[in-house]
Amino acid sequence: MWYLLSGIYLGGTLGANDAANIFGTAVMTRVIKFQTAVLLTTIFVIIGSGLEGAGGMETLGQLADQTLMTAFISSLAAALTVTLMTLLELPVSTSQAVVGAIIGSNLLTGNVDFSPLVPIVSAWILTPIGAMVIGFLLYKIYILFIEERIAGVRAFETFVKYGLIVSGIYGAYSLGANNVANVIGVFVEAGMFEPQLGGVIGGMAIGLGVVYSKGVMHTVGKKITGLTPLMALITVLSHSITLYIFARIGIPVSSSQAIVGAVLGVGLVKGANMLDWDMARKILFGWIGTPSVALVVGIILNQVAFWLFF
Amino acid sequence: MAKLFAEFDQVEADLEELTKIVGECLEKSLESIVLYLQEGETQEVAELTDLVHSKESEADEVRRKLVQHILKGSLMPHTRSDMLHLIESIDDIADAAQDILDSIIFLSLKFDHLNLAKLDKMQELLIEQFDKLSQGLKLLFTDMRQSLVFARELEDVESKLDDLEEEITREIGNTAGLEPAAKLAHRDLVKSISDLGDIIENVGDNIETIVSVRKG
Repeated sequence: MWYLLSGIYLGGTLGANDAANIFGTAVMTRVIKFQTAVLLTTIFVIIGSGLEGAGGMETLGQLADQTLMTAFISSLAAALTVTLMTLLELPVSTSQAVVGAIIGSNLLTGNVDFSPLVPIVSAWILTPIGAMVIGFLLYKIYILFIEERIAGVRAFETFVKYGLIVSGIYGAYSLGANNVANVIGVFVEAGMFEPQLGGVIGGMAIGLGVVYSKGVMHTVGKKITGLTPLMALITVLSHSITLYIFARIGIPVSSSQAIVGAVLGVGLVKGANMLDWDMARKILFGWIGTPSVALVVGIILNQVAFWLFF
Repeated sequence: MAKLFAEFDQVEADLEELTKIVGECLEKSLESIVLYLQEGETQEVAELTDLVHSKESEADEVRRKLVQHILKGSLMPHTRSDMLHLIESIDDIADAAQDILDSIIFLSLKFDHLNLAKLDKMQELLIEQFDKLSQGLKLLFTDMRQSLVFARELEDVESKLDDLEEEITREIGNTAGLEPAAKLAHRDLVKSISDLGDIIENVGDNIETIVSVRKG
């Protein structure tokens, strides 16, 4: 069972970083307390992971046949990459680190199938674009069908408050469904668990990290709440829908990149160019730099393990 | 949800009370100023001035209560900040009206060359403008669109006030035999009264901001 420690570590870093995208706005706007956000995120991440996390596990499993040792190394390489890049304040995505780490950990044994990379990389690129389109459409739908029904300040406040809670819960479910494969996929492929049980365990690991997400939640929440309350709500909801769509397709994608795309989408409706070139550079780095670093870390760990155990 | 509604009910009720008191303060200030210009510092002017001071203090009290309530409550930061700005801007009307009255009475200034008929018209316009503002504020919580209609009408009244200010100022400028210092004092009074329209319009601008932020 100790093999699983690297997966729990990875799940913790994922939860600590990505929970902010879900309830950061609600916590920062005092709609709910941090403790409530932790509880709701944990519960719904576990439910999402258990019920719909299997698709992503299957996709990641196609990249390489895993043994418990390679699963351990892959997870550790991804977790170390995420930790290292966070410490260096470089942009990082767990989903992209995991793919690089799986390839790196199995590359030298010639046990890698590169064909699933085409849909995986396409999904990475489509994530911010899809979130942008969804954000744009949701904003338009709000203007056309909902705005009329929200007459006063009181009704608006109620709509946003409850909207943030509902979209946060949905976001937690989607995060679990989409991202749990990053945490537990390699162990399921190695035959350690059935997908559903693996999903629940992975969801719990993510939930463990959510407890430590307060700092990131404040940083991310502050950025999103810089938008108007309505834009913040639609951004969070678009992000959640995007994650859910890719969970159904079965490809883990970056939650943070979905948020960025959603912000661009709602900005487009207002005619505002919210494209931040620094952010665009970070996304590009996330697509190329993160998996590359994880790949190198995976190769190194694989060699260290070979030297130590064989 | 019940807690949120109760909180809004309280804010709405307090805001209505603040608007009512500020409105009375403005009305009595203008009444007192016009009376002072017509009759000098009479007993009635003194009584009205006292009333203005007490209304201004009352408004401050309600404002403080409202601010405390908003700060302690669970409104979202955007709403809290918008409400605080709104309250301050409403209170500014009472402050400014009282200041004009105090400055002319405490300095015992004389204004013998003012067109009182036009000043009466300014008074009427200010009361009309404040009435529109009250209606806009009342609707803010239940019908933002209609609230915006009233807020935008404030600008029209303000523009009429500006026209009157210009006319009166030009008349003062053309008055033969009036010392430049007296002309400036006359102009300052007219401008201060006309500026009340700008201060009322500022509240309307706040309403517009509140509604704009909440519109898609």
